[in-house]
Amino acid sequence: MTTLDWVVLFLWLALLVGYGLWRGRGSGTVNQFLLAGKSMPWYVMGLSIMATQASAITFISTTAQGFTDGMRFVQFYFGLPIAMVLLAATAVPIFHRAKVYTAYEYLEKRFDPKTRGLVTAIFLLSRAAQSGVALAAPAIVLAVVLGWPFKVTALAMGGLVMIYTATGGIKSVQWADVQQMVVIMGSLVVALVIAVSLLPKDVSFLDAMRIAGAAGRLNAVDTHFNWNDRYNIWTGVIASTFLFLAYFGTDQSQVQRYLTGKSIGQSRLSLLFNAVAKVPVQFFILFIGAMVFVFFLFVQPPLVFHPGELKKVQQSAEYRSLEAREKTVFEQREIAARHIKDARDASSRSAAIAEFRTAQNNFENVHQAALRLTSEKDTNYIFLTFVTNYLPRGLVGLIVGVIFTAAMSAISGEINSLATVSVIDVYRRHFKPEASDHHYLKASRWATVLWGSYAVVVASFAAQRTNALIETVNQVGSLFYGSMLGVFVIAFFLKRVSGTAAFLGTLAGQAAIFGFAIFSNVAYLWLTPIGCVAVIAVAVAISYGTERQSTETGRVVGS
Amino acid sequence: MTEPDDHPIPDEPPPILGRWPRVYVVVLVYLGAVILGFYLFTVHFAP
Repeated sequence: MTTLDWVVLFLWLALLVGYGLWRGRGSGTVNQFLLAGKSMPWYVMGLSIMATQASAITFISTTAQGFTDGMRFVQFYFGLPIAMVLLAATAVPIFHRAKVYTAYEYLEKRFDPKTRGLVTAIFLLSRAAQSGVALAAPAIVLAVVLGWPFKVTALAMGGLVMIYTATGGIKSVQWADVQQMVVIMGSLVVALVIAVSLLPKDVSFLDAMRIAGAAGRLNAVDTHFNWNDRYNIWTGVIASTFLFLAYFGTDQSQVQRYLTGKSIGQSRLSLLFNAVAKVPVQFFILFIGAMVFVFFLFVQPPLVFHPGELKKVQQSAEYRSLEAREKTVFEQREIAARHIKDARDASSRSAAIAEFRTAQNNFENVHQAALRLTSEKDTNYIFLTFVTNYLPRGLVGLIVGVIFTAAMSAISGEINSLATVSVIDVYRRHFKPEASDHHYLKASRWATVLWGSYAVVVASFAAQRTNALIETVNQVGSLFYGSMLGVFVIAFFLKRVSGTAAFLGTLAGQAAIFGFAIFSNVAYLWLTPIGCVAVIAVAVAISYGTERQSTETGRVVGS
Repeated sequence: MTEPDDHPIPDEPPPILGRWPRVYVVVLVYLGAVILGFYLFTVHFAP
């Protein structure tokens, strides 16, 4: 990065923290600190919900997914608008009218303390595990790109987040999120325009799309059903709906966002805004990845995208020999891509596609051989390699900065919700129920600092392990959503189910999820509906059994 | 401690279409149109 990029990066970070602090002023009560005094308009909540979900690694790995696997990942988001509509119609008015700080408080009002305690514990365990990883994953990538030690990167991210989250509470978090989303989307549009403008003069935008399509990178919809396939229209519309219902309807990091709304209508609009915007946004990010793929068909990419790993191996004899081979296979692939562009009828197009596939396989074989010389995957560095090498000065600093702050946005959401649940559902509920507002405000600020520090420490631990650990922890996080969704569905709609039945159902649902995760090959997206159905089935069965028993006992006593 | 129920939370009609269920239907129809658009996009550029 040039001096101008560093200046832009630091200015952007200072602006973000300063703006967050300024917007968060006046958060002098618990209601202000945790719920922004229920004063937020829909667009702030809507953009904040989008920002919390879109972590840095989403941008880095989603563009990489478009590059390597095409656009089929967009189908994962097809369930989101359905979930948003269902939540706008049900959860939003229920949570608002229940007048709660957290979603789990509602469970005690509806069931009993033990069900609230169980779900609170599930949330804290799963989110605590993820919070460190949410920091570690982008910090690893940015440390490599910026050339900083990992601990400095993690500490900088965690420290900056703690400053504005602990000072201004959710108001700071949400306004900072708005600022980030606007700049992130603007930067991505510029990145796409530049990727397309850097293509050779004889390759138009439409040509680029035809080449990307022929290379299988514009595969946005797959109608084939397969239980073991993560991304097709069926997992997107059915399984993802459950996952998003759970995420937006039961995860405090999201529920807290729309509880800040100044009215039920504003909260509904924030969810519906996401319902409308999220799928096109993801399509757009994946499309950038596909266009970066086309760009690297005409501009020879590095054999290994990971700059750190590249440095380690580029002087070796094996690498040099692979580099020489890469030049040949790259040229063959470029020629094949031009043949696709120039094909005028179906038969010449088919021949050109066959030629391209062979050339792409040859290229991929060389790339894989080079990766075997390294110790880490390089997919997370594809987009950043493009950004740092081909974007104009200043913009590089801005895009690295927005990726930096996208990570901070996700972390601020995590630690803010963890602090809220720790104070409201644990500390106030079990340890100090009758303290003053000032006391809980102080406790909330301290809890924010503690969870932030915890995330930095866990991130340092996670970074010493392999990337596989990070992926595992991320997947483990999604193992809890099914049971959480199940218990909330019961709470909202099955009025006859008792607290004990819901409690036992939740435990059974969790066991079912672990069982399927360990003993079957079902794609992880299906675990949420499986868990949800198991919770409901067991809870309803227990309730029915208990009711029948008491009816029979009543009859015996009556007779 | 201040509770979040210091003032009543108003419900209000949507800014367009008059009733919330109508807005929900429009969002779902929009989703259908987006999926159809993506499907046609995929078919058009398929290898």
